[in-house]
Amino acid sequence: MARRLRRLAQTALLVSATLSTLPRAVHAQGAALPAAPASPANDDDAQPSQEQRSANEERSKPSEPETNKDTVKPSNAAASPAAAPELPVPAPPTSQVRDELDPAGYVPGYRKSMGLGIAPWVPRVGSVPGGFTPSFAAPSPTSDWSFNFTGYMSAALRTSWSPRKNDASPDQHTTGYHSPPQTADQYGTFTGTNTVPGSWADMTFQYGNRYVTGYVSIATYDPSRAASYTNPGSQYLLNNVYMTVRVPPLDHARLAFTVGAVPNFYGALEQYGVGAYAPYVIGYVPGVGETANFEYDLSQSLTLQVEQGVRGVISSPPKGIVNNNSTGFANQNWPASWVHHEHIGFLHRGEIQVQGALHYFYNWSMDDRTAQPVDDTMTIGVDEAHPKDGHISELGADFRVLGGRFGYLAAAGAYVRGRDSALLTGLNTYGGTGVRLFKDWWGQNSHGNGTLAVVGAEYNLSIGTLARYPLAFYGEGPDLIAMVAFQHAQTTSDDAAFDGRARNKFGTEWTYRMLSWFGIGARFDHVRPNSKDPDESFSVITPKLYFKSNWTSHDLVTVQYARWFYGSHTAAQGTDPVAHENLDNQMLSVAFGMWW
Amino acid sequence: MKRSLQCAALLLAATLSRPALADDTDDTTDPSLGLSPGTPSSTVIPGGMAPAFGQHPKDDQDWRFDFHGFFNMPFRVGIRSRQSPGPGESSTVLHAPPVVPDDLRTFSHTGVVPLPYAQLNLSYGNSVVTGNVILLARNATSAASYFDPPSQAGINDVFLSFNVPNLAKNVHFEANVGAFSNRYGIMGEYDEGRYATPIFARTNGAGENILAKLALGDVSISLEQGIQGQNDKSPPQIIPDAWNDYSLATVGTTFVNHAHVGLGYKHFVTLGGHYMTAWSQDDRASVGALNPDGRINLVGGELRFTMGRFGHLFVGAAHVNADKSASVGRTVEILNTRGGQGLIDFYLGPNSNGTGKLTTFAAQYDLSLARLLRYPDLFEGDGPDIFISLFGIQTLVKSNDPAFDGVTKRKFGAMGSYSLLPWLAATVRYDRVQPDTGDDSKTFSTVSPALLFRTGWQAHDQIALQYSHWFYGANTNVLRAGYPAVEDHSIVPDKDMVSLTASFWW
Repeated sequence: MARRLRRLAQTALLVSATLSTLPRAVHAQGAALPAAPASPANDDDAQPSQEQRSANEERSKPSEPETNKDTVKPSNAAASPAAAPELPVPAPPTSQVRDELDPAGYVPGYRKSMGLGIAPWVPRVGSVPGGFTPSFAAPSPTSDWSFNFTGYMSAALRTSWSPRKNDASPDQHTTGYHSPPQTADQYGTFTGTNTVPGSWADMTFQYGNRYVTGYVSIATYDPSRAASYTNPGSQYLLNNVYMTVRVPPLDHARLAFTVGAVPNFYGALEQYGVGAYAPYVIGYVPGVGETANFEYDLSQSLTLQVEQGVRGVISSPPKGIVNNNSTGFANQNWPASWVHHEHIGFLHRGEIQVQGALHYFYNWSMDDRTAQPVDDTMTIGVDEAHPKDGHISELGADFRVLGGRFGYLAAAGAYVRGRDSALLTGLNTYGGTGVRLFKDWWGQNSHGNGTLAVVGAEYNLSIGTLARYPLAFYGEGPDLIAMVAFQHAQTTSDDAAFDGRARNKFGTEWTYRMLSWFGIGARFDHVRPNSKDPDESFSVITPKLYFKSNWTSHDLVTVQYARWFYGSHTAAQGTDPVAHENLDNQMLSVAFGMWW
Repeated sequence: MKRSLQCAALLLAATLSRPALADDTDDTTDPSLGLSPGTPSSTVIPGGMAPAFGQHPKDDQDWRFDFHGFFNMPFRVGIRSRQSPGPGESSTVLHAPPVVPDDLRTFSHTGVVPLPYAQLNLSYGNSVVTGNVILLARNATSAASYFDPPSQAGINDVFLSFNVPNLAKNVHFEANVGAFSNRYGIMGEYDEGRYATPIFARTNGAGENILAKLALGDVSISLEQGIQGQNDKSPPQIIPDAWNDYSLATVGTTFVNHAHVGLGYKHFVTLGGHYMTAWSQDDRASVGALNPDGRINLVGGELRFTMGRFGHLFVGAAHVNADKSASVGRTVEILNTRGGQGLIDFYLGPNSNGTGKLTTFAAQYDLSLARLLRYPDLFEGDGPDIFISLFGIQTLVKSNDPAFDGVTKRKFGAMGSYSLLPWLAATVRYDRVQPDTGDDSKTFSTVSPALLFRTGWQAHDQIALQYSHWFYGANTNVLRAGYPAVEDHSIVPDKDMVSLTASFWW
């Protein structure tokens, strides 16, 4: 027993010595605590911060003379007679020493609240691993954190119309009005031209400091007030939840990590948005995971940019899930999927800024839970009884020129290759996930095997800026803005109907801002969805009126009319397909948008 | 006549004139024939004494907006070998979420598998009263492969908090009124502990909760009382489905009444006693069959030691008596199960008729070695440290269902962590779970080493890179799958998990 106690004491001393002699790095800037003293052997004499000194004046170290605050003392001086201090001060009585700590942070044993329960606003979770992160309700040192609230919102009244498809009865009108508009313009599909405005509200709450920021966003594409039925899947609610850690600047280098649930987007053709046409030419990666961003300044004007990421899903659709609106039309046959992606690029600063990058994505699954007892013969091209581990690989490149008065030019291209990818989700390429590629791009007889090559470009120019040069112009005056865009996509597939099929579309938009609160514009688009059937092609022309509160305000109201000119085989694809005979060819809309 | 008219005019003018108000010069009100779109679509507050929505309070400079929150967002992958891989199938499988026995509702839950969670606390008030709205989600839509409506709770809590610190000499008074949650039997010092499980109960509902504290020198007395009910009840025709979180028409309107008393000495030790009763007496719960009125009673006690440098120790015991509790709703959660049906599903068994008893013992001890060993030198968590945590829960089940009667469930674990740099720490955790101490073949263990990255010694942020390995018994079978999730003994569990978790709060 005595030997055991002696061993315990020796272990305790050893641990104590280890803890006291370990080098202490400079304190993080976010903490309220100062840097360690210069002498590495005296870790326990870290000087308290200014706000803690007054609190610590009540606490004194026993059996040690009180020294000048700047004097550094060895930690084991209490055991041996100390040399005469420079400023001798009588030692305080031992009875004044109290085992108190405020704020205690993560250190246990100093609970302030003596309640019998826990406050309602404390999160309903257990402790985070490790024990070193103070709990939500634990008193913590103050910090230099700040709150920021950003967001975007848009909503639109829109209706399309056409003569009633069947003969009107005496109680019916001869014209039918539809919302959402029943046109060939389906968002996110190749036949989409962004002519039909939608609704989107997205609020992001940020909290943090210069080194770490937490983000939570709330979003919806269908504000409940204007919905005619409850559509659960439209309320994303807590949509993105993530944090970004920015490593203190290194020499000519910057490193940041983003961890949590947030997508990465690649191949946008506008300076601050996806471009004239959705989707992104290269694609986007949703899910939860990490992204690391590294920048290195090769020179004053040239920066190397490297990015890497891994994404997965929080959970895959469970067995027995119902494939309907309430579950977002999830399919129990979809396996858990993963994406890793790597990127390298450069940024050249100057009067004309140039940026280019190469991208690589690999999307795959290795999930055995989706195998069904028997194959569903209704689903052509998929054997649910023996689902293979599919994958999609993608190579992409993009290039953009921020040309000052010469405008903004962006171009992007991607090559997508899929193998047994009919049930794969995760990576959203230009043609969508593996599920959508299988249905809309490679055909059911492809079994999810095929390729997709896509290129796109867009040019935006402010003629007012060009004409006024060398006078500076920041948009606070009349302006004529031009946009030209085009995209071309081509597939190869084991399904003959889709093999060698090309699709392309191009468009142009011109906007004249004549007054601080008013502008007019017009847009023309031509879409050729199928090189094998020219009769699927169509065009759309859209005159618009714009209203703003000021030249450079962050708000916009748009009144527009759109007229489609369909081919005899034009139809709408995507998740809400519309057959040719049901298409409307006219639309009127009033939409607003605002961001902050 | 003329004088009468003059008097009438004067009287009318006096009636129509009004004192000059500060708002008279305020011309920010927009002309409108209707209510502003932002006006809430709810009935007026009774009494007529509360200013209408949008009116500035007279002392509005004392009020302020507060925004707090917490999130935990994990990337997780469960790994194991595939059984009999076929053509085009790899020999290793990857699962999300990991297929391991860690379901939150079961006793086997250890918290080793990080769960997604996000909470936003919005509050507005002054030093006496605060309005609180909490948005909550157990998922992030951008990382979900399917839409699971119950995981997006949306506006979850809405309540007023009253705080009167000096109601009388040495008397502190608090009250919460509205829709919120109470939790008792908290093993952690400031959170729900390593197992994320209140060992007494969690209450959910609309109601009130009053706390009164009396300080008498070194002794403090706490009294707490609360009553909560539900806003609604599942309609008789409801079909249990994902969108309604598999609600049952046979569950009736449920109320919970609870009372608690605590005795504290010098902030060192608190002795607490708890009583709670949840019941339903709703004739609408008898759909097509006689469904008895159910009740769940709970008594418990706890000792909490706040020992300064010697750490924090919680010891508690709870006894649950469930009587025909199938109709008792989710207003009360015992050991993370929901209502009487939850007790039936996870403890009492399907043939128990919701009748049985649970006796639970639990303890958790947390210690900072640096704080202990450096004392009396000052250590505030701003340097290298070793953190130790020991924890365990045991529950004995008595049930009318013979297959579940007499089962003792036990789990315990230990965690050791080393904080070596302001931005780096390492931790390892061991858990052992015995779903039935009488059948060792169901026992399993986990070991979970992890690296922790943060921005400072006491940062509110953490990135945890964790690996976990499970050691299974021959008959470890507490795995659930499907929609709704049910026990599935055919499942082959994952043996390994890798996770990367972002945790952040403000």
